[in-house]
Amino acid sequence: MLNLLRKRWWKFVSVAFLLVALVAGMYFPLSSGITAVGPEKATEGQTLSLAITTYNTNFENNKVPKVYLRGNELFFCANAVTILSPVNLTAVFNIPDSLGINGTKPFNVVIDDAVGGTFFLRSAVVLAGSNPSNGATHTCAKDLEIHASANMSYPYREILYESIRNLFYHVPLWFAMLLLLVCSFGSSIAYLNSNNMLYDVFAKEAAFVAMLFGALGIVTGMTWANFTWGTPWTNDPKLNGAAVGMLTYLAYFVLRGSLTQRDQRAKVSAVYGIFAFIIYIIFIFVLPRLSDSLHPGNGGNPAFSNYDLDNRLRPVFYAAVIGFTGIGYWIMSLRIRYTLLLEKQQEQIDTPYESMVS
Amino acid sequence: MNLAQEVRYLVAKELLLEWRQKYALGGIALYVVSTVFVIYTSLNQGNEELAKTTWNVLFWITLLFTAVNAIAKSFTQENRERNLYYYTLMSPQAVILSKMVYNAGLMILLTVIALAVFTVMLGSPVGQWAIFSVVVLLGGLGFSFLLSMISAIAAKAGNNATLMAILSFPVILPLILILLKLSRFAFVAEASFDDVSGLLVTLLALDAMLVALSFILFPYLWRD
Repeated sequence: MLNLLRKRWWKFVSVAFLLVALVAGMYFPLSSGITAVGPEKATEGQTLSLAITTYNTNFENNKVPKVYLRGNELFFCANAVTILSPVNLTAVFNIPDSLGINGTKPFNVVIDDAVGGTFFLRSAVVLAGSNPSNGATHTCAKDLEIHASANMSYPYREILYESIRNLFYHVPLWFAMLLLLVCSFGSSIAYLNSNNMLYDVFAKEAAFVAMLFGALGIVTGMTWANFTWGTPWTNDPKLNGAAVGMLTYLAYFVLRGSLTQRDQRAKVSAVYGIFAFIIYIIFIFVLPRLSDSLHPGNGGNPAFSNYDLDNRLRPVFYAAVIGFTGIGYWIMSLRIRYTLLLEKQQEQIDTPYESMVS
Repeated sequence: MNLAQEVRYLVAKELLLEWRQKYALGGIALYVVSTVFVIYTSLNQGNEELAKTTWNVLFWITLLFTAVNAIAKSFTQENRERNLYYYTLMSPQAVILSKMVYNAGLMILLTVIALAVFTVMLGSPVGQWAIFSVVVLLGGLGFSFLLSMISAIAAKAGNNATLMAILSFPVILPLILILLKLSRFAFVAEASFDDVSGLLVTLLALDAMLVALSFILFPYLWRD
């Protein structure tokens, strides 16, 4: 047992990391957020009674949160906050007679809760003013402190909502796939240099497991895209890159299947593997330069690292990356052993026949 | 013999073979013309104006299929024994380079035919012929370089038409996408080379990389 642990420690580590990522990814709740605010329009001088519906909050009457309206330099506090239910409250604002603007201005609704932290809804209320000469005064001290929620939780984001958890499953699958493809590429080079058949088996099985992960990545990605973008497949360079990768390596397997002689199969598929991988890498780096992507970090979309300044997603995400990569490597090593055993068995079947012939 | 000399002899041999089998060249030229004619008659049903994007896509897809068909035979038109004989005489690099040079010439010829037939039958949205010629030239080179290598791979596996297509289509996509993008620039009469210099450099780099990759990988392939 001790020997097993010493030699196979990485398997236990990756299973542990994956379990942690799976459980933690589902266990922790989303941070508090505002889902709806009404009415959405008001004018200066009005007493505005805002009905606010929130998500994942637990308001209690003895702990009333602070509610603010904020539009850049303008900043108003609610005069009275009434809690209707754990996820419903009414905030009454006395909008000043003069906002110092001519026209309309969007305001964010900000809630500062002791438990849920500071959360807001962007451009929730539009205030109209017609008196640009006199600047508005703040109705309270501008002492808003942004603090995270007291308990561990994942960021609440519009559009994503609860689906933000897919970050732990969808993205690491692609990471693992790319790493396995690099493995396959490296073994193809090693095979051409050494003619060692083991590298050929390695290259094939790495590509196989990479395709398995790629298929899972596409399924998780399509589910996510259906929820956030409204369609399972869009003409997005990252999606096309994924599809081309799948097509390339499926063609690689067809090529392997159509070659019967073992040495020739190893050599020809290694050459195609190297050729296709290099072009594939160029494809996924060149193509995003030719068109915009809906994915984070492309075409003006913020990257995920900008979303979570408090890094609440990071530990779980990295655990998932390590877990999936380790599991991928494990599946690959099992398949390599299986293939080698199969070949050994084939040789044992073949040998008596050969000795009979000679 | 040095490499340049070997390549020259091999290209001359290819040309001689092509000249003796004129029907092969005529066949592939007819392939282009009949493909365009099928497109023309199919589009002519409703007398609608052909959009520039449609023209662009049809042109490059026609060229892609022509190229796959023309280049697929590169390593199979001569029998295996004769190929072995060449390998004893020449370096593998000379063999693949000669195929690339010859196929590049063939592709340029076929591109000119395709462009002429397209212009006559379907009109031409091209506004900047200087840019378009450069794009078509570099595109033809890219097609021939990439498909020469793929046809060498497919030839090892019995060279059926399906294999040639499924091996080449995923890897040719980056090339096609750059070409489509560049052609769209060439449709605008006011376009200048400054607008497309970045993309042209990318295309040139891709062509150069295909030559380099084939140069390195082919010697592993032919040794049986």
